[in-house]
Amino acid sequence: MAISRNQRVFTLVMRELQEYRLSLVWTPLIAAGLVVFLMLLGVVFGARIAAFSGGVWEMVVLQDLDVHPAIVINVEDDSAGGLPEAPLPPGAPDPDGALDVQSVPADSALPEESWNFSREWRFEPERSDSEKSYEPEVAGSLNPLLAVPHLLLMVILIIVTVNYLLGSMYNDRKDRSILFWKSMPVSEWEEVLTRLGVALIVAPAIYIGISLLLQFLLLLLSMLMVWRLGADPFVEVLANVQMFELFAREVGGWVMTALWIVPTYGWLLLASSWAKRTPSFAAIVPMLVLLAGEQIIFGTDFVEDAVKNHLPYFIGGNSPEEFWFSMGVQAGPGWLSLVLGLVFAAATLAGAVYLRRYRFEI
Amino acid sequence: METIVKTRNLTRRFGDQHALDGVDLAIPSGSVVGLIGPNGAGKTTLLRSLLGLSGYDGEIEVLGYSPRSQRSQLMQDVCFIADTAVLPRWMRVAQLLDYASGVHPKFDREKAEYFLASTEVGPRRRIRDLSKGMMVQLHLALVMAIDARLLVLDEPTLGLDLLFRKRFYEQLISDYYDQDRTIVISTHQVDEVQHILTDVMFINHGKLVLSRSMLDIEENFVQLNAVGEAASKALAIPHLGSHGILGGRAVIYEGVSREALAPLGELRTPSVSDLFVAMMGGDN
Repeated sequence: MAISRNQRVFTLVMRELQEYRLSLVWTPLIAAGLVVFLMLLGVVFGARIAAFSGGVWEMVVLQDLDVHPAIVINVEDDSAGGLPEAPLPPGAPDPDGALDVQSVPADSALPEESWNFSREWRFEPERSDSEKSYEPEVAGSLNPLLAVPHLLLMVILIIVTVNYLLGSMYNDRKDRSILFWKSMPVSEWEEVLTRLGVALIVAPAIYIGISLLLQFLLLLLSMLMVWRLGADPFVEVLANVQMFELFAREVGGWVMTALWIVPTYGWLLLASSWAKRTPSFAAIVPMLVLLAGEQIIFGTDFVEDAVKNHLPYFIGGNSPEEFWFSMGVQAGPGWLSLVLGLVFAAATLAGAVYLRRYRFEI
Repeated sequence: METIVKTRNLTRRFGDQHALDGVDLAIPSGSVVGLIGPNGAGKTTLLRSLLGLSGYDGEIEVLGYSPRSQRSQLMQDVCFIADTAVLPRWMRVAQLLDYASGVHPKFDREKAEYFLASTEVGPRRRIRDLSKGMMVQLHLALVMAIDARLLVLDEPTLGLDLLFRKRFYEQLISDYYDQDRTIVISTHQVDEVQHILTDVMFINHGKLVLSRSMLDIEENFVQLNAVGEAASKALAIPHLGSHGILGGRAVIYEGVSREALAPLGELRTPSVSDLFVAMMGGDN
């Protein structure tokens, strides 16, 4: 019976997903479910929770964009909010369908930036900071807000993947099921590359897929909420989301991240293949020794820089938007580090294959 | 007859100790070989070397492959049970069958399901919830559904009860074995496999002590049950070993003609286990 190449790959990947079903499949679903549930509470219980959730957003946005928007929820009455407004002709859509940026009189009691939920999203760059150069459409975009749940899932993804990789070449040696796996005509290269593929492609695809679905649901819910608060959800919400950009940032961002992160993942696989007892120790201790050794002996920190360049936190900088996309070559630590990282990754994979083949006994 | 397994000067050291010490062996295809030896004799090390699961010095050729560097190709035609209870415990039975059918071109899923139908191992069950006996049944069903040329079993029935062991070997011979297949079994329970073996190998202290076909053993070895005075006469003739029987001794000879021994008592072909004890222990 001939088995096609695809069927074989599918079988090997399914095996991983079955073994790590909880962390690779259920965890993102549960996390997304929780976020949706909280959002749903916000919609059901109306203004107060909405304001609260706005507060949460505010904090996050504040950190990540380094701006200070205030979200003003104005539910009771249009006139009660006391916001100075540019009168829009009723029924007329926004000229560009996006946000309206207005200047607020300096003596106004309003916070420096304010988003008015009841009518439209308002955003004003901090006037005191002359370096701020946010374009209105960027600033008014809801994309940064949607990036927050995405960031949450990506952080979980990284944690889960690190854990997966550390266990993936170790657990079957520990429970001796390797004696079964080795009775199957599957080469060591296939085994190692399957695991790397799951870590770099399959698991992120699952997480990003769920994240996109989650963001879609959140969008629907916020439309519902805005509608409940008496505004036009299409104008206030939908028009402020740049779908394509969102998609490109989140999917494309991972592609770039994957290129940078692969040496780290390869190292984890190697540590997992090598470990006699605790794979996480096997991963961390040699690196620390190398790092400290270099600093003591040569007084330099090339290893530290190299490691930093390929850890997820350092790759992207601080903002969730930047995090997943523009860690590209120009913004990041540079071509040399990228290429050296890939070479290092290849070496670690070869090492993992070698250990799997010749020294798999614990 | 084609030789399916060949080793030359196979050696494996653990520190100072020789787990294997210059083993030369050849296993013809179509044979059922019993690998017999005391604990720590090197049986497992030998079998694992043949399967590419262990390092070694010397040469091994299994079906023309080098087992270490070409393990994955080799496993198309070889299957093995290297130990009991090594099936992945988190898997469900159906998932295990999915996996085997997805990666093994010679695995026949229907056959495996047919073997399992007569057991209590249902497809939805998780392997960790199976009893030890059921795990062995499952593993055996899996390997028997693979159309392999060589099957290696290392102590496959360790820790199972008698009924189970009997069923295991019966099924192996009736449902699996044919002239094109070769089976290598290592076990302590020699008596239970004796009737299915075509060849025997004794291993002790890492050395191959004996490698004969059962026919050969019948021709060359004889056991004399001598009682009374005949016993001391029997012991005077050069022999491999002896053990006490009711009222006398059973003495095992190699290459002594039956005619010469016949006057001293009852002659028979020694059982593999008695022969083994005689060769390992001498007179006791």
